[in-house]
Amino acid sequence: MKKNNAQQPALHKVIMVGSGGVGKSALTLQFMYDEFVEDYEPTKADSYRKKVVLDGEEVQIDILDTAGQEDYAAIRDNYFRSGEGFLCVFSITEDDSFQSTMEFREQILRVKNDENIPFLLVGNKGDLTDKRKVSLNEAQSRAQEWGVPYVETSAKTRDNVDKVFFDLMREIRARKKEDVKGANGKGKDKGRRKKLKCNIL
Amino acid sequence: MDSLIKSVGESDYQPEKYVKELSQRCMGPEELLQQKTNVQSLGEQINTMLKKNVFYNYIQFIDTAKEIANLEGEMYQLSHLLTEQASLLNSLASSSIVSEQISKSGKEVNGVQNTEVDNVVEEKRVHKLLNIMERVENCNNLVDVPDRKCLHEGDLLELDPIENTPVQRIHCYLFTDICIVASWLSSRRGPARYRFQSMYDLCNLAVVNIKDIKNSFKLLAFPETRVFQAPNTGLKNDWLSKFEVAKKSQISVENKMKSSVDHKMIQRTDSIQLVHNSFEPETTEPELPEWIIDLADDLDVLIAQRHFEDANSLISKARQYLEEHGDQISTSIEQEIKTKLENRIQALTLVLTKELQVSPDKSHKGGLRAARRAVRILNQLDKSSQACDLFLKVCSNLLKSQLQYVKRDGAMSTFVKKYSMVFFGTTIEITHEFLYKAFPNSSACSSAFILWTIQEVNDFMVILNKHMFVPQTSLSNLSECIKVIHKNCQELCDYGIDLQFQIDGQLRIPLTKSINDIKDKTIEVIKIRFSEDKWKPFNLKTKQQRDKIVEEYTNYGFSNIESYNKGESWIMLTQNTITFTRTYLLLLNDCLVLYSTDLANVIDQLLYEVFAAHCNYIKSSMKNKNFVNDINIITTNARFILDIFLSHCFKVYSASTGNVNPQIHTRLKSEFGVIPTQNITGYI
Repeated sequence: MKKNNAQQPALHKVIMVGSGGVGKSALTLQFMYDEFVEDYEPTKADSYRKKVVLDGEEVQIDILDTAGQEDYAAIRDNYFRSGEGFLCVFSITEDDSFQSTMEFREQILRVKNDENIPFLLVGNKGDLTDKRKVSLNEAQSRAQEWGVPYVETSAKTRDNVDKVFFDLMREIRARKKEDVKGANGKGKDKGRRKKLKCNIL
Repeated sequence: MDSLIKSVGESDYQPEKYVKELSQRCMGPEELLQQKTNVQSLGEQINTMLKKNVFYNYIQFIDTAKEIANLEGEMYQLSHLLTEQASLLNSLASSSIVSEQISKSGKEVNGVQNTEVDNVVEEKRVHKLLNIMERVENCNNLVDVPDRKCLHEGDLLELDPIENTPVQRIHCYLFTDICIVASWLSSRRGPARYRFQSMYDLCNLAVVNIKDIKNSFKLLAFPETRVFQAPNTGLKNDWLSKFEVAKKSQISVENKMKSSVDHKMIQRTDSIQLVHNSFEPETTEPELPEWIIDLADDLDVLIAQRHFEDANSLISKARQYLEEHGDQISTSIEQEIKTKLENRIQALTLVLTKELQVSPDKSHKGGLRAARRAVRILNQLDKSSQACDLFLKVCSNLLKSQLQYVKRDGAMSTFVKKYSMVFFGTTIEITHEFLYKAFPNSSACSSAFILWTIQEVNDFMVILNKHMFVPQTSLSNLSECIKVIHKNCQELCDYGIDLQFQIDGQLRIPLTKSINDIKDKTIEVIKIRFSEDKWKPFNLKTKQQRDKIVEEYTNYGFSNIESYNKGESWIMLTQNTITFTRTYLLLLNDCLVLYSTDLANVIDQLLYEVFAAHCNYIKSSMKNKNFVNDINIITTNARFILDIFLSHCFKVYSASTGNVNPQIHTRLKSEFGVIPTQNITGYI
């Protein structure tokens, strides 16, 4: 492997999770190519990479779009392991998808073994207000409970699409800096994390 | 204007020459101006034509582009279909390994004949693995894990995961539980071609399709990420689907192992619990056995692996459990289990109904036997009516496809015979399957079946009628066909299904029409024959010929034909009489085959009118002055027909129909029987 980290822009690995049909791929494609795909075709596992400018700094984002379908639940662990940040997507028009965010959150925490993994709760299909089943309050209170931000998006109208990806990258970047610090002064980091955990509880 | 277009359009058109000619020809400025406007309008016309042409070209171009896009889509679908098929085959292959393993672990080895096949498969598998070990330098021992099998292999190009630049050529092997990456050896001496590089456990491996780099995919083996590029999209998709199949089957194997262990544990805990309960009545909520908790997942797995029988037995077991222990489980849990169970039952039903559904791309060679399994399980799930509907659809389809093979060329009667044979043969087969195998003891389904047979037989008769009742068909042809149909139909009666009424009902209208047509035709023929009749005794030229006729009539049952003989080769009956009696006997025969209470009137009418027509002509011949000298022979013939032939015919008629005193006989007798004899006495 070449050691040209200075030249290479930082790579942030983002993973899209959430039940089937909530719009993970739609969000990804909107972010990647500025297009909205109407037809639904279940994803298995697709990855994308893009160079973006994050707060004046050129970085690369690596998006792993995972399968939402139940039959992939057992092999999700291996995907989650490689992620540095997660966009946990549900559809505001479907309560089931909101309920299953719990499972995803638990699985991610279990795999990453880290309560503070960069994580955004994303309520997609925000344009379909007349079909809303999950109230803003409900979603916000769950996000608060988890200590994560909640953002409503629309892959169709591109509402907040860039925001969720950039917000998540900022969190990842902050985490990485923190880790470097932590690596310098060992032990400190662990204590801090534990403290935060207590705060949440 | 036309001349203008012509001259301008010519290949050797020269503007100077044209203008010169024009100026010579034209008188005065008006005419020149006129020519100028002509040329201008021509220019405009050509302009619009050009535009139109361009437009048409565009349209054609767009159409072509669309076609190409469609084609591309179709090709994509095709390749998708193919990869799906490939993965299906693969999963079938791998699932067979799975079941092998389970049956072994579950001590359910299926007889001796399987073991032989197993041995051959096993040998092949080991051979393949050893072969791979030989090819890959420094390879681990692959044979030590039982049931490991090579699922896929191929050359790939490894890319740098960050920069996407090519790193090295590698060869990758996918096994049922692991994946091996090996690099190419530069010096190829000996059997080894690759050097072992790394091995990944499938359970720690994730495969990701990379969308924005052509033909590549990622292996996530935390913390390592490796990017590979396949030579083309098809091969990449191959890899992806192979990986998916391998992972899925591995998971199902794990689940199976787990559930079989669970089952054993349940049995133990069950017995313990029983003891506990009797001693400790204070335990208010007994713990649910684990198999009930895992019920939904287990059912999912069983359905996915198409172990429908197992799924069904698990469902009934669960139902029984819920019934017996319903009062011990809290209602909310019970409700939850019940809804889960209901969902799985629905899923199973759906899968099974899909199995039974008729689709054009499914072959029906398996026939009804193939449907048995699904029908049986659906019956056990109390979905008989659905199963019955679908099963009957399958039957219709089977019938249709069987009938398709009957060739429609050749003689009508052979076609009808074959068609009817195939129809009733298949129907009997279906009836047997339906009443004894698929839906025994189900009255609702039986009535549905009877409705179905009636519908089918009606359709069948519509087709047959189209073939049978074409204008020139003779009555004997028809009667032969109908006889065959009746006979075939009779065979079905053994199963308690009598379709004769249906068939006769369908036949009545066209048959009536045919009989009437034949009546008219026959009467027409009689008229023609009488117009040509000279009332001369029939000369058969030789004695042998005459003897033949005598023999023929004796065979019909006439005893005293010799009395009509005259001279060496003459017979006192006219040729007309002979032809008529022959025709009438034939007609009578056919009519009697077709005879039924529905058709009795029409047939009687036919028999009466034809006979009456003949007698009427005899009567008019007697009065005809031209035949005064032949009155002797006319009476002889009339007597033969009215006395001997008529009573013979109605003896036959009575014997066949059981009608001892047929009305037409008496009617014919009373109308014609007396008159000629009176006349004869008058003349003699």
